Amino acid sequence: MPPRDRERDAKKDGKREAKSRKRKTCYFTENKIAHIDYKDEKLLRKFVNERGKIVSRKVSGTSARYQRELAEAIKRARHLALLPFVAENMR
Amino acid sequence: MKRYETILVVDAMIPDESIASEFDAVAKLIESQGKITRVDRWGKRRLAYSIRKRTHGEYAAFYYEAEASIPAELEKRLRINENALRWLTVAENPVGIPAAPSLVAEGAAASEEGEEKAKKEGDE
Repeated sequence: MPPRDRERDAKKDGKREAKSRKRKTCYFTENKIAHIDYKDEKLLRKFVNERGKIVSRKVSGTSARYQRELAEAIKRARHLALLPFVAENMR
Repeated sequence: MKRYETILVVDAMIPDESIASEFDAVAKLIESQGKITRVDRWGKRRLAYSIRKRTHGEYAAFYYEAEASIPAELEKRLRINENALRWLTVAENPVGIPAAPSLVAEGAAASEEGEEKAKKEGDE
């Protein structure tokens, strides 16, 4: 995953290039996941970067509904030490 | 009666019997006034960050049905329990108990624990 650069990200999603870019789709909608389980570490790891930060919707394409649920799940997992709050190098 | 799930992380440095008795104590408390649906022992797992200088924890998940007084009492006891590193009690998700969370297998592979996982698989 490349380091985030908000300005560049904003440009990327701007009208100029939007037409040529492949549209991102929401992982949870696509896979018909009804509920994001905070215990499912493997799944949650896909949505945090190597720093342990939650990946933004802009990057992951997650729908608003699932992004809210996902954030909650990741925070619960962090509390249980299933996921790091900060990670210098993820295992 | 409501459905709850509680994940408890116990210090993995204490003897195995103590770990078992910590989990038994939780189970007993729940059963005093509720019904346990399933208990998953995830086994020994590496913590994502160290908690009170500990790098590993023994995880167990309890799925049960009980009055609200039970989680409250459990919380009270865990607060004063030095062996309990972390815990989380939430109302069970609307979809129900996950059949086989991927990390159960993962945790079991890391150590020889997790034998008594998935006692009652087909429940709900």
